[in-house]
Amino acid sequence: MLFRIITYAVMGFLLLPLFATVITSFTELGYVSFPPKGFTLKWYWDALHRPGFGASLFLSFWIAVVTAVFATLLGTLVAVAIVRHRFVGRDLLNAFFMSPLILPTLVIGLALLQYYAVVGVGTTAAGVVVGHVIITAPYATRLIMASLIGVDTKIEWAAQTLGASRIGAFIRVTLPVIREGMASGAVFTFIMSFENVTVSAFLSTPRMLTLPVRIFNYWDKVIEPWLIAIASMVIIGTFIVLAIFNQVVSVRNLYGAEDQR
Amino acid sequence: MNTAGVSWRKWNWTPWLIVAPALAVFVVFFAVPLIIMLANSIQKMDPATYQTVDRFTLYQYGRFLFDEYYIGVLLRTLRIGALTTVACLIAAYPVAIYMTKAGVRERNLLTLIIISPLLVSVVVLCFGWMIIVAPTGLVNFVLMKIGMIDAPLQLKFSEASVIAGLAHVYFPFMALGVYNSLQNIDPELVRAARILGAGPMRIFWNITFPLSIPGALAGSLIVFALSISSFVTPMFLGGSWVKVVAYFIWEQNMILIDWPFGAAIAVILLLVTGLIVLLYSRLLERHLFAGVFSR
Repeated sequence: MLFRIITYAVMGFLLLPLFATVITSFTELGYVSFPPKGFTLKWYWDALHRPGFGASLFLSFWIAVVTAVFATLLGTLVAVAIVRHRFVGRDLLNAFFMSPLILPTLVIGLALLQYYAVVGVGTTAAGVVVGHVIITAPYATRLIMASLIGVDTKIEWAAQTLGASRIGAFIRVTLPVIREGMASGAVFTFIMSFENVTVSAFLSTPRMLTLPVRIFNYWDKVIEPWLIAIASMVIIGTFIVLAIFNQVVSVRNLYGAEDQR
Repeated sequence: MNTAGVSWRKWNWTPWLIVAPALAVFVVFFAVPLIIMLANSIQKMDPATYQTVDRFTLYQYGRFLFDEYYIGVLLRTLRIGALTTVACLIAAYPVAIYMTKAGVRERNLLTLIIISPLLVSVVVLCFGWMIIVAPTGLVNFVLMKIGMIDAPLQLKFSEASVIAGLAHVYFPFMALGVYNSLQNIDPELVRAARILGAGPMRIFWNITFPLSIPGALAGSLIVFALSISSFVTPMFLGGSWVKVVAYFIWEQNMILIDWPFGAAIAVILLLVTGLIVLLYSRLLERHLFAGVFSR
């Protein structure tokens, strides 16, 4: 019983900032305060008319879509090679692909910034995607590994015995089984890319700002209620995406990533 | 035909062909950039002309390590990281223990709440914390309402706020780490102890706790490493008053455009992280072996 009370107190702590943001976004006051006064949607209206935010939302969305596709594809390749094969250098390869998890993400952003300058390509949206793929692919790999471990290789051999080619057997037998792992990998990497600020902050320019970086640039300014309204929209949007994908991706799968440790 | 598991002897090309695209991306956009950053960190740049004046020097490292101010910042960063880790550890144990006893539906709900800080952007979470710690915010409102204080406390821009914010963001790694190691404990072990007459406290201290240490250590490692390298939360909640190492990496690279110095600070942060990973894996090994030998 005691543990139950503590658990829900901790859950309250985790959800409190989210609730505080959503509730405060409806305030009628011109400054941020708690408790908010009255109820109005004017800050949402205001937020939607701020220049640049629409473009940033659009940019963040497409960066997240492309990141999810590439991270999931690369993650599948790595997962198949490492789970299905025994070879010299396997552990080393696994450690190499997992190392972005333990490396500070800002170091990856910074290294890419200096690298693009040395190579001479400058900062582009494609450059941001590359950074996001590096930091999210390990998560996709783990999720797909988790679903691949459960697949009996014998069914693929059976398909081959019955005349399927190796690639054909993989596509028609294994792929459908790991589809769920790939789907959760795609959803997870999409969300991680969409909300990323640590890598994007280094690779953005004033003309190309992802939504989180545009919000981040207000770090040393007074936070006005319309910014809270934007934050509130991000929170609500995230939970809508989760609710939609909850049919495809079970919550268990998201932390199945941690089971691999 | 490739029969998985037996082809140890001869060099096996198939897996390398499969990972080739991923390997290419990771080498070109991950390994090489890190090497270039390392090369940049040992250069010296003329701040007026942005020209490289020295290609091999430890000048940038000296600038950081022989400056009392920066050493103070480093120590503050480590202190914030340590306190964040302890806060997460204390909160994670009851939650993880409760989760092992909860039903499937409740556990799924708890998991969703626990991972929510990973799914919502950290800048958004910072806004939430600013509303809580602001002079006109939630904490001051509650404290003044119950009459504990007369004037609002200055909570924003304090280390405590930064630690609360960081503990929130990185709690999922600790909670799920501890939960996983608790879940892997053989229930027969607990049952055997109960049959032999051990009480719940004794079962916890002699079985559950020792077996959960690997998960707790792994969680602590991740929380600490992530905390000392974060700059978004400290910038929002600490402002110019609580500057951390990662803030200077951001500032040198994005505002002052002193890339060699920015790279050197990043390498120092990497070395500190690496040192701690090494220390932890030693600790982890000893614990695992201790478990093996005592059995």
